[in-house]
Amino acid sequence: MQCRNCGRELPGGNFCPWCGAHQTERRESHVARRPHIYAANPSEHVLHPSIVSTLFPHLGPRRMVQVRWLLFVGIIALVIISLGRLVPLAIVLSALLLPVLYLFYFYDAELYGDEPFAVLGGTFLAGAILGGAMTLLFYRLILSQSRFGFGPTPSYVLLVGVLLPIIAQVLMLVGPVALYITRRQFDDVLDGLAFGAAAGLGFSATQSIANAWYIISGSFQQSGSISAWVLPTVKIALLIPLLDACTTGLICAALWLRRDRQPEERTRGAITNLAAAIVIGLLGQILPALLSALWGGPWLDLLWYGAAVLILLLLVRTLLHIGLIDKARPLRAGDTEQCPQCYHPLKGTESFCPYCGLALRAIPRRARSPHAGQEPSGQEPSGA
Amino acid sequence: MRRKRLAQPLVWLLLLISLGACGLGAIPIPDATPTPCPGNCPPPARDNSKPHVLTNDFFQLTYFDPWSLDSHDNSTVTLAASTQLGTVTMQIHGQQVNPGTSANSLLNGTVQNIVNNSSFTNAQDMGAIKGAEIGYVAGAGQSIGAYASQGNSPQVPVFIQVMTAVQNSTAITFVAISPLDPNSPDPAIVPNEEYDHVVNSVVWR
Repeated sequence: MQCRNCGRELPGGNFCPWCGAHQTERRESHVARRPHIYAANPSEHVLHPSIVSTLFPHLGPRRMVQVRWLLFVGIIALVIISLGRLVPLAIVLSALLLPVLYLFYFYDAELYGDEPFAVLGGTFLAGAILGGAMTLLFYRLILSQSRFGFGPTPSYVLLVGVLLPIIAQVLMLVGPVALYITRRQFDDVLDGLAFGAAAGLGFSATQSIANAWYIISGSFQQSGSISAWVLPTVKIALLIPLLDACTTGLICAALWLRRDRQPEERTRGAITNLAAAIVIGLLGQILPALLSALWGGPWLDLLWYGAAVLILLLLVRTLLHIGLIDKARPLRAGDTEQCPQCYHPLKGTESFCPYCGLALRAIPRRARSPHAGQEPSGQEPSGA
Repeated sequence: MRRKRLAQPLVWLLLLISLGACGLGAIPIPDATPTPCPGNCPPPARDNSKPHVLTNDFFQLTYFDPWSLDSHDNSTVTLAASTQLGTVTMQIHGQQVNPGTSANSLLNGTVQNIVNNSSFTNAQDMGAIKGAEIGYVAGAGQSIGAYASQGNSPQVPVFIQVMTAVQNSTAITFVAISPLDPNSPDPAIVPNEEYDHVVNSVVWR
């Protein structure tokens, strides 16, 4: 039996182990790119709006469930704290929830390889320092342009809705781009996504804390309505960090795709183009900030930022999926003996699990065999 | 072995975040309360700035620097003044009302609009303004406290003062929104006196 996409002889199973094509799919247009089966988590559609399988693709199925529960329980705990009007505590914990989870992800999946200092410094730390520095630098300028209750001034809208989001996006990219230039061993699209997302999360954490400094340094328990702080807490815990993680992760993933020249370049669609990713990332930062500056408030902020995060999550997933399919390459021989998704045995020379279609590059380094190290014995088919 | 190597960057991360906290000095804090006058302090200096007079269909008012005219039409005047914590804005609005409309009912409607304003978080009643009057016509007033944030920008406390007064079939509503705490004992950062200048300068038409 030959692969319907690359023509190589298949050992069996539903997917081509070298190009990932779905052999049992009836729709011919869905065979090669298989948009109904996400490469990093075959149990989901590519357009499934999942935070964990998009930004934490290296986690195995069990860990993904655990992280989903951690995130869910964390958000519920923050809502309860904000209902208790312990506002400074709610804001600080909200700002740290996703960055701490992502730090756990780096640790669990060993994304930093042999260079933890450089990778964590270039991602979380660089993002955190630059986020705090930018917020503090522009604090007085933003306040001086603020006009409360009677609609924003044009200069305020331009500053908060256009200029600062552009500067923020550029600063979030500083650390990952430095890693891209100096650490060539990180050559995977998933490395780019993780580094970009981590820098964005570090940035959003310090930015949110600095922005809320008047509240944090105020009364530990605020008076007023018990529900008043729920929406701002959700915005700080989920929407702002996810927005920063998605825009920076998207741009970095597109950047890292350019590094990987194997197999040779072929048309992959506009979303994987670096210039397109930069434009989308900047628009993702500007549009919600602009709309929020013009028509703000807790509910509208939830709408603007929620819509932007949803769209960006789907774009990041699409880019990752295309990158994992089109830049398919096998792990090192013996890297893994069993698919962590479906538990079928593997030879160790495949790019995709032939049974569930998982892109094996999404397997965490932790899960790879300690006996690995030999070069792959099989060669990829050209043009796959 | 790799996991042990994570400890060193984590220590650096915590250290640098702690150092970054020192940078919070960039956030403006209102100046400290000045030492009370010992008894031989000089008389207040006279404001030599030129008065600006505005007239519309309902009232005439006079204001001085540093207030500047933000906008005005036949019924509404909006004045603004910049501070280190943001712009203080005053709006004086005149309107025709039905006979029997009280200052209190007008005040309640205005306060409700402000509390429901989506750009404020945790808007709370801070109490009535005693002796509220506009252009020496007795009315009603209320203070509101809230947090304001437009976009992904600093969230700051704002202090809202609302006063209404009714004379015959004309009503005037005064709304001031300020990031400066009117309860501060520091006269340099209390905007109430500035509000008084403006509302007392109102001449009903």
